Amino acid sequence: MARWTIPFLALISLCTATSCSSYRALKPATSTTCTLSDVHRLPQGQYVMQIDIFNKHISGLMLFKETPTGTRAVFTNEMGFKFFDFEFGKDSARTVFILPRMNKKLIVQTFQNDLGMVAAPRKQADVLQGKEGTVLRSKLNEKDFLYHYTGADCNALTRIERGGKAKRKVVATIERDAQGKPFNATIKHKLFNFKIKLTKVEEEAN
Amino acid sequence: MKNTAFLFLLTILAYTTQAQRAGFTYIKDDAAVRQKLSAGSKAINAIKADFTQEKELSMLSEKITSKGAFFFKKENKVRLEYKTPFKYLMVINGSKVLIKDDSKSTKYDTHNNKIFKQVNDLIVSSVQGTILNSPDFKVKIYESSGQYLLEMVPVAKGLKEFFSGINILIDKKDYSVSRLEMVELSGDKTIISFSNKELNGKVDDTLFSTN
Repeated sequence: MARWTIPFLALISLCTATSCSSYRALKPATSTTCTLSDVHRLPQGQYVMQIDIFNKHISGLMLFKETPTGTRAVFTNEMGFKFFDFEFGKDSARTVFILPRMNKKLIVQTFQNDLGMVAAPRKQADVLQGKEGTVLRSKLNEKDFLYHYTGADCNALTRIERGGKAKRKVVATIERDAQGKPFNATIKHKLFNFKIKLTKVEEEAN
Repeated sequence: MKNTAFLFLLTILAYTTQAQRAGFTYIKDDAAVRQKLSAGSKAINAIKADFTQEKELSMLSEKITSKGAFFFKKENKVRLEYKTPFKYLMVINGSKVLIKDDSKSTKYDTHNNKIFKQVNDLIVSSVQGTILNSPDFKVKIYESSGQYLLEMVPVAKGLKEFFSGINILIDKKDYSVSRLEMVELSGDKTIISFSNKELNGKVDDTLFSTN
């Protein structure tokens, strides 16, 4: 067996296990008219939020609301009881309120990262080009980026991924309404069994 | 000097007024009222009603409204069916609880979950009007011409973590609950108002199936 076979097989296994992506294949776009804007995140409003973690299922209502200081994300159960209230600025997040029992670093970070992915405003992104079309990449921290996939039409967001330079960690699949605006999202982790589904609620006309 | 005294008096009056419930009078010797409420609630065997739930988010000046149907049958059967703007069902049948949202049904047994049991007992006893007997709350009773107001402060460990108070409005004419107000520690309020109430009508047992 050639001496590179084992390392090569190990690399393939690693890539399969950790969802190596084609991020490295993304190149700077020649045209830079595409910019990150509000069409690349879920609009404010009420959403039914369903969380599946391992074998547990929790549901409730998520309210995204734009305020002068940022985007608020408030999660309550259907009977109105509030679990948490976060505020997202451009590339920042803070906890306004969280149930003491939920106030663990991992829980807070996971929810803030996942909800922030689809609802938080972002600073300007690099515009890249790949096989699927235009990808807007914004830096989260030293290790992670957000990749907004828009295809040929800059305003047609299809999914958002969070990952490093090569490794995909979380994928949010976005559904758009008849006007092309995002209205539902399903966020799935690649490294462990955790999924969040957000479905926009039709609000009654007054 | 006179002005200062006057302002001081006004402040005291304002404080005293706020300490009362607007439109309600505190009943200090409430033994007779407790007996009346207990007897009144014993006469209710079944309830069918519409409900409107309003969640007030104190920090956002936002109100989230949902509506549905409510059923109760003695002894411990409750069905809370949310219809708009989302579909959600909660059924309590004794110690069994069924929760059903758009995608999944989950069953619980309150014997295995202390907090769930407390919430379960709270809902059932609030609806039945037997909450006055609960050791989990300190209760003050107020009355107006048409209603009693039960102001309940949780003393039980589990409930204290979630609620700062629960207020129940009871109609004097039939001793049924017309409104339930839950105040969380964060200052948020959830108000459930019941309308189109039918008391002691036919309520099918199948509505409370947890299978």
